[in-house]
Amino acid sequence: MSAKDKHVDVVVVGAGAGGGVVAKELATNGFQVALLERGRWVRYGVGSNDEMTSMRGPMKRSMGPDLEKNPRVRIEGEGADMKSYPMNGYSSHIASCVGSGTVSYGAMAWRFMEEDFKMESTYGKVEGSTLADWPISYDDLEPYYEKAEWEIGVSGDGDENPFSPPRRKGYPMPAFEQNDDGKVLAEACKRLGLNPFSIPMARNSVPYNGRPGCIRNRTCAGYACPVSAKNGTHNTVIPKAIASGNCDLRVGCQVVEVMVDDDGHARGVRYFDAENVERIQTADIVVVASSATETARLLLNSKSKKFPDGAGNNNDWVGRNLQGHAYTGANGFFPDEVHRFSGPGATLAICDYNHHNPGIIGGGLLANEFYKLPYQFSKMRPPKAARWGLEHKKFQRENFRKFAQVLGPIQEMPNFHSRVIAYEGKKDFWGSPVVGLSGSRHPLDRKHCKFLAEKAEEILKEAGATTTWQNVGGRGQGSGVHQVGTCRMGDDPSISVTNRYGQVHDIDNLFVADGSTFPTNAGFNPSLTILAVGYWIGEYMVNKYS
Amino acid sequence: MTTDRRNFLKAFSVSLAGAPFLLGQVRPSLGPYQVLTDLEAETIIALCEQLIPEDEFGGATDAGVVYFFDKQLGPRGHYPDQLDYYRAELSVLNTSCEEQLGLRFAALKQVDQLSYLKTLEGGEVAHASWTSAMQRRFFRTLLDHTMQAYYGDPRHGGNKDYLSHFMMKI
Repeated sequence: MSAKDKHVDVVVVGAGAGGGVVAKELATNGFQVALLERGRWVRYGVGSNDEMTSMRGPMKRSMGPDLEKNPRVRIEGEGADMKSYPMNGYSSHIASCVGSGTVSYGAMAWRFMEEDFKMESTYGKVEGSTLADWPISYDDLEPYYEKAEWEIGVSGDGDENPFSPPRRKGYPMPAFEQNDDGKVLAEACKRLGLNPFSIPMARNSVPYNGRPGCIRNRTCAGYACPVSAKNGTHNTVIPKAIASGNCDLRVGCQVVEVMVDDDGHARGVRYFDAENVERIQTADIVVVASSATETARLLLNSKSKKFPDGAGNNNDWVGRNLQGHAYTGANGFFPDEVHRFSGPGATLAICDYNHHNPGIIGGGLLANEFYKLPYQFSKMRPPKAARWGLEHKKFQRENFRKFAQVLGPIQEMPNFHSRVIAYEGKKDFWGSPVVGLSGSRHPLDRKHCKFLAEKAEEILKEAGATTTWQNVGGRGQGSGVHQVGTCRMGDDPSISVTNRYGQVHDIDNLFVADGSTFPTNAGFNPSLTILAVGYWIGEYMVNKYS
Repeated sequence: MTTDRRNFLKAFSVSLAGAPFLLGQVRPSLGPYQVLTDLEAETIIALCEQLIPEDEFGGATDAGVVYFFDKQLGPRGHYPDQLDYYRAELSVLNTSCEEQLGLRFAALKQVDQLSYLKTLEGGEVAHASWTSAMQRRFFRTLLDHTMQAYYGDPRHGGNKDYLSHFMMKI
């Protein structure tokens, strides 16, 4: 018998970007909320300033998840030919902690462009792709972007980027200055007729919300901020939700099932608490916000009479259209030093290659990159350069500060076969079928990556880099920490999982409130849009159920 | 690590290194290591010193890279599941050196060590049952862990006194 928790109005699964916002919207409007998070609070001292255990490092990551308890498999083939292979490392796992990716991210805070919400209308049908319009427009989401920028805290200049979608209000904090390589690259961009600007960042350029300004730490993307100047749900909306007295945040809780009754209503969730005791949390409303891979797995593992293949999956769309970003760009070495490690590294971007480039569907931003610390830098070598020995070592110390990268996320063409399944052949620590990942990117992604990588190399050369080479992405499966798409929202229930408010078709008290709902992923880091969608869904729920 | 200590270690290793072979089994370490045998440690030291040699700044040996391997392959390290893999591959590596050059890797002349490693990197060591793909994989694994050891945080066992960060002026 499972232990039963006191009934609540709403149970939210996952305290990341989407779940944190929804929990706050509901709790501050009088709803009793249980917020269940499988990870724990990040403690800065526990390896967080360590390149090896950072979220970009090669070792077991300080923000988890625990890989032994959370195995994943790669699936090849279908039906009788299906084969699975264990996946090593952090295959599309996102930080498992209160705040999730908003603790570890680089904090670029992009609004998607108007075109990104109507890709099919803008570009037409794409063969082999499920490219679609969102059921909502940029205009629908604009007020919620604004809310995210002000409540979470974003530094930027609303007028600097000529391609920026229209906005009613500026940013709450001034833009960050350009760092050394950003200045050099910005001048080069201008000479090339491009439009460089300071990246909007969910990081305090000045003290904000009772927390200090950024100290220019070089360990930023992949790390927790030592002074909490980087803004996520863990230091903004989740504390507010808790302070309302209506939100019970429980960490170390692994949810294994959304319980759906025979009439097709969600009744709550079954989970294992931090002491590994099986419990049931009943609720009037269930919100799943566990990231595109884990949200899909949870729904697929939640079987019931009316939904024998998983909650909301009667049309076989749950887990489909998994997307991330195909990162692509170029690297360059300069004759002279181009930076002094004033962190975090990424300051400069251009949006000239987002939309309206002949022959390219979508495209992506380009930006200078977060700093490479010594281990990562040991892999940054021009083709054919020595990877070890005396030459390696000399190169390492002589060129550490002469290096710059220009990279960007290519908007992937979603496809039906890139997917998450709940793989029955392997169980996790709690006995649930694990995430199985299968499929691959659309071939156009590679073409688009080549396009953007050439542009990146052009900028580096113009900036004076004497050795440059491209790093063309676009192969393999789209997912990673920018994972979205597995429970896409849409007006037509036969080709989507939720409606425009994240409400699962046919289960009116079950919501999805994370990147899973995105039909497409734009050529921008998705976090601000996940936050905005969280506000959009949260407000709808408050209005509907108050 | 001082030259004295290195010579001491070398002598120490040489004196013990033959023993496991003579006994026909891998013995628990008698040295300062937790999981590595002295022969394994000696081999790793020699391999890593070729990958990151001493110049005007200390190399892998000075940075104590071997202690990274000993710690991380141990039960409380990050890569305990790779200990057996290293055991097997280091053993094949030494056997192939003995077959072809008459000496185990660490006892080879510097120039021979270097050319052996280049051959290994290309997966071209002639040894029955050690396929080219296995050789290249082992080289990649060893190189990656050596870089982690030399450039990573000292808490993981290598990069003694932040030697590499001192070199890179960070």
